Amino acid sequence: MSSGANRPGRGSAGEEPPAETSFAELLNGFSFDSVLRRERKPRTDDDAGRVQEEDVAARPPEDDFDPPGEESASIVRAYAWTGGRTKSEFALQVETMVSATSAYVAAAMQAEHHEVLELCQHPRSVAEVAALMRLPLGVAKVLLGDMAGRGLIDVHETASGGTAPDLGLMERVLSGLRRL
Amino acid sequence: MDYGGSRPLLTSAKIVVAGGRRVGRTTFVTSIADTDVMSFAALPAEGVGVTGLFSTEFGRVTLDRDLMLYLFSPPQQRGPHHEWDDVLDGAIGGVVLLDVTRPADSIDAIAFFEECDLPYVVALNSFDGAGHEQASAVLEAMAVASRAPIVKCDPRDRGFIKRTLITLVEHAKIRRSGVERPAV
Repeated sequence: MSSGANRPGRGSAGEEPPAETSFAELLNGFSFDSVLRRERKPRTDDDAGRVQEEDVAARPPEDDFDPPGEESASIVRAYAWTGGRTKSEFALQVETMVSATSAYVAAAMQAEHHEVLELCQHPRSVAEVAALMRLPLGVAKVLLGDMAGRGLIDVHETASGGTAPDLGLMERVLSGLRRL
Repeated sequence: MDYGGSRPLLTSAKIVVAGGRRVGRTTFVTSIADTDVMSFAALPAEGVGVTGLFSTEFGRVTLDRDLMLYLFSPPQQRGPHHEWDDVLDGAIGGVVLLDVTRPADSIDAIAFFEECDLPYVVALNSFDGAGHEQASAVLEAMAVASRAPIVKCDPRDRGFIKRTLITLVEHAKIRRSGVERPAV
């Protein structure tokens, strides 16, 4: 049984997304391709452009980033796309496995959700989702965190919660390696 | 794998593979992974493709029905892009690939693992058959206070990689249980 069974967005396929300012909402205006190609073509999509600009204004100070000039635009785009969020309430590490839950059809709002769910019919790590969807890691984490919040994917356990892995796990890894 | 609708119980762990340029990091991962080597970037990969300077390569090794091991090889250049934080957090340990003919190329990786206190092994990439004597001399010359195990590893050879990883996890276990390994 997955968590979040009573969350909004789990009903009929035609239901509106939740009213929160979310990654999914921002994504409504523009597809992955349009985001990735934005720099190469004149901005014609007013909606997407406005969302992007608003979000640039709203994003937090760049305390963590020291971007070289050429990459600034890409960072801005990534921020815009994820609603300025860089953290997820779910503990998603690069190696964390995620898999599609059975409730996926009704609750998947975005084309991107479906794409992730297709990938995650077999469990995949966060890193794999980022690699296969050609997403920056941070964007993949926010997308997956969003989907986990909607009950679309299950988040599996990792060896650690960001601390050192425990001895029992290391023993299992050793046994596994010896069997290879 | 079929989980029959029940909540899946998969566990994943990771190991960091580091070293200088052209010491065989990608080959190391390729030789043991049961997937193609993949890569992700911390930033949008527009214009440069995903396999740029700042991409992290990785592969998956299925150890058991419910246990996955990931090998991550982050970019050699540690920029402001957090790849290293992402792969270091919670890692079992690190493998430093070191070409005995170009040891200085890998000293950054050794220094970094020492600095963040991550258990690691030094895997000597000795294509030309150079032995442990030479390796010890090299490491001594580099002034590595090496309590880290030193193994020989041809990154094209799955058997070597397997032994390298086993040595690392055993070392990490000892470190984790608070028993210091005697100096080599």
